[in-house]
Amino acid sequence: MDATSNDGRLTVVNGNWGRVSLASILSVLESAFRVLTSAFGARPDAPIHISRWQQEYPQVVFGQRPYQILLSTGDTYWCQYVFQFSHELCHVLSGFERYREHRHKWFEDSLCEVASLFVLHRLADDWKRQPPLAVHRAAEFAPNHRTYARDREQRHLASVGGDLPAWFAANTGELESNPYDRVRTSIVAAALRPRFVQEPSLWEACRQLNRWDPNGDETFGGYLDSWCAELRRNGLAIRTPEIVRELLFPQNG
Amino acid sequence: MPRRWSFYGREDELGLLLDCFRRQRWFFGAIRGRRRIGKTSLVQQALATHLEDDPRGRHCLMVQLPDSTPADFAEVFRGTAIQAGLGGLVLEMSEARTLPAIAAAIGSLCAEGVIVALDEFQTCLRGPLRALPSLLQSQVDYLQDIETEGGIIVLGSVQAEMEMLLQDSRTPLFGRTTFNLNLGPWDLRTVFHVCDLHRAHDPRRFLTLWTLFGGIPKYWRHFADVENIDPIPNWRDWAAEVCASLFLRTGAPLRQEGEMLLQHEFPRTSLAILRVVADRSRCSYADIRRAVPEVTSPGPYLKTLIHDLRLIRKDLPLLAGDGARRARYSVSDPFLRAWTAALQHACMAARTRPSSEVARLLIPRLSTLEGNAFEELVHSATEEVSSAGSSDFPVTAPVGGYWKRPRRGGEIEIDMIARNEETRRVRFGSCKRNPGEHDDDSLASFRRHVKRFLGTDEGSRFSDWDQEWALYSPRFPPRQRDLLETEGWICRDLPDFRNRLDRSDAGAPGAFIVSEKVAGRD
Repeated sequence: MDATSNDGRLTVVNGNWGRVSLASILSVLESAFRVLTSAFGARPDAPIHISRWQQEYPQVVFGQRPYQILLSTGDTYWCQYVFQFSHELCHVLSGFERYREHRHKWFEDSLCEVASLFVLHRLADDWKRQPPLAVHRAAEFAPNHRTYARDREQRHLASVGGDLPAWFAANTGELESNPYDRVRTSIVAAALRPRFVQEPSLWEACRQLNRWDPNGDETFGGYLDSWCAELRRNGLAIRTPEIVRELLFPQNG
Repeated sequence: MPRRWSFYGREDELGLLLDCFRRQRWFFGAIRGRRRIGKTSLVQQALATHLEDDPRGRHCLMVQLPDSTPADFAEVFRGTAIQAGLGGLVLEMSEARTLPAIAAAIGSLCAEGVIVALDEFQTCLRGPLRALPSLLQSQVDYLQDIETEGGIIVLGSVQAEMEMLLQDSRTPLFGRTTFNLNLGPWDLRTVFHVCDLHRAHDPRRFLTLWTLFGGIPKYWRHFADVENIDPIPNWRDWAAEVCASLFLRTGAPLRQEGEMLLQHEFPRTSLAILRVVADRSRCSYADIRRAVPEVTSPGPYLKTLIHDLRLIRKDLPLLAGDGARRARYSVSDPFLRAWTAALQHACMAARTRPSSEVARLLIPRLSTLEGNAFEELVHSATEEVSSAGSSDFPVTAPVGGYWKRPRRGGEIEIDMIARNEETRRVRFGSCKRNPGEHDDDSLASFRRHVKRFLGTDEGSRFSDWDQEWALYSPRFPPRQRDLLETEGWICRDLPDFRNRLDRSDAGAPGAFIVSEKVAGRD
């Protein structure tokens, strides 16, 4: 017996999830799904199946429909469910399969980290106002989402020492060679997060990621230029890439 | 007022049961574990959590097999089924007066989607109910071929007997179980959590409770119910009050527990050997022979106690081969060890003397037991922290101690040796219940013993490894810790282990609905 949302878009697949019901997991993931899809202004093009696996990191599997998201959490660690699921859902919403490997892939992963933090901050308020019914004492739990997000942000930002552009200049090479370096992508994410919380409409531009061939972009500046061009072609605002540029290398802006 | 009891730990085991319930396929599972370990609570909590996924609920019938006749079992079975409102599901329920009829009724209930849990299943190994496994076999074979959501869970407290019933190829139920769950004591992370919630945060109090209960949930629950012990500031008075409340006073919840365990768990002939081992905390084969001269060959009794009943543990010095003649024996169950070595006499004395006075006299003995328990605790904690991936010393092999008494002197005794073969690091540890005992003499002696060890056949392989020297106590005073660490010693105490086992990086855990039965509200 799996647990499927009423609209059939999300299914939590049975397995050893620990001390928790599938119904409550589904309810937590649905609330994260609502926040992020509404910010993107888009929904995935196929249903999503969520399973538990015992590896250290979560993952969304390439080339599968329904989408297969594998989470590496369990029991009632709701913040971890939200964090991991939102990250993988962001990959799905930004077309992660179209260009699987390129030197700027780290940026997509950083954005997915931003998505996790963004959803956690939003759910801290949403659960207080409208707690999901299947989650026991959800309203009481709500502030933990913000605490979890802030702990992560502070831990990562502390290592930058206040000068993000300098840090970025020194770390671009590492990011390009290892796009899934969690520490570095999390630093970028922690820096970007406040702007996305202030202006949720920034997410709409992320739908256009992976719609051009990024292998032609020699530098990250070039990658942002291509993104702007893609947005213009679709009649969308270029505010998101401009904000990224402003935060990471303002002197070249 | 004591905090309300909940369902603690057991995430993996509960997850396994829920996974099984949610598959909507018939199953035949076994749960084994000593008395009071929480087998029934686990099933009850799984059913309560499953209710959230399937609000129609799953009917469950829990029947305890009596150690008596089939007619008595039939009476118990029918009574329990009717009380659970399941009498109507089986046409022939009123006729279920023989073992074949009960087996048929179990099959009918399962076919209707009911989960039937048979507690104390080891009773079927011998005696009047021994035909039941064979009768169940035909039901199990029939049920696994039809589409039904029901299941049978057999629960048993004597490991070896359950294994003989289910895993011996000559027995009718061999190879038929869908899952086999061996329920052990709580892990340390859970015990730390329970201590934090139930007023035993202080490391010294933690060690006392660990020495008495190990990781057995039911005993912790009795402790959690004790009132008015928080304000007692002094450990000695607090420990005396805990012992008096739980063991010594009239109506104390654990006053009969040890006797009950001893009567149920093993034959009387082995009792003398168990007592010898418990009294000495750890002893050699020669010690046992000297203490029980009337038993000419303790070997077979020890074998039963070690392999079949698992009440005694045989430890060998680290890296010594299985054939080494330096084995030490100790009682493996902390509660039984404390009971046999100290509490049983105290309980008897409390019948004729004031319990408060008996409790005070018990404290020195309890302190000695704590010393041995602490060493084992350090071994377990080192392994558990390593397996949780949060250790500053990941181990690649079980942690153990080392001892050797050469005839010409030069004794070697090392409390703890942990090693990592991949990084070629070895950590030698000295464990003291009282941190003040890590004094200059003790440290010098520790160095001497390690030096001698490095000169032995077993120890010479570590000569060119990175060597670490660690001192362990329940809690180090900050000043002493600073001094020792300045001298190059690694200091580790129970709060260090607690912090490393803490899962705060996963965020706060959300609440979950606890079974009314487990919480004691039903």
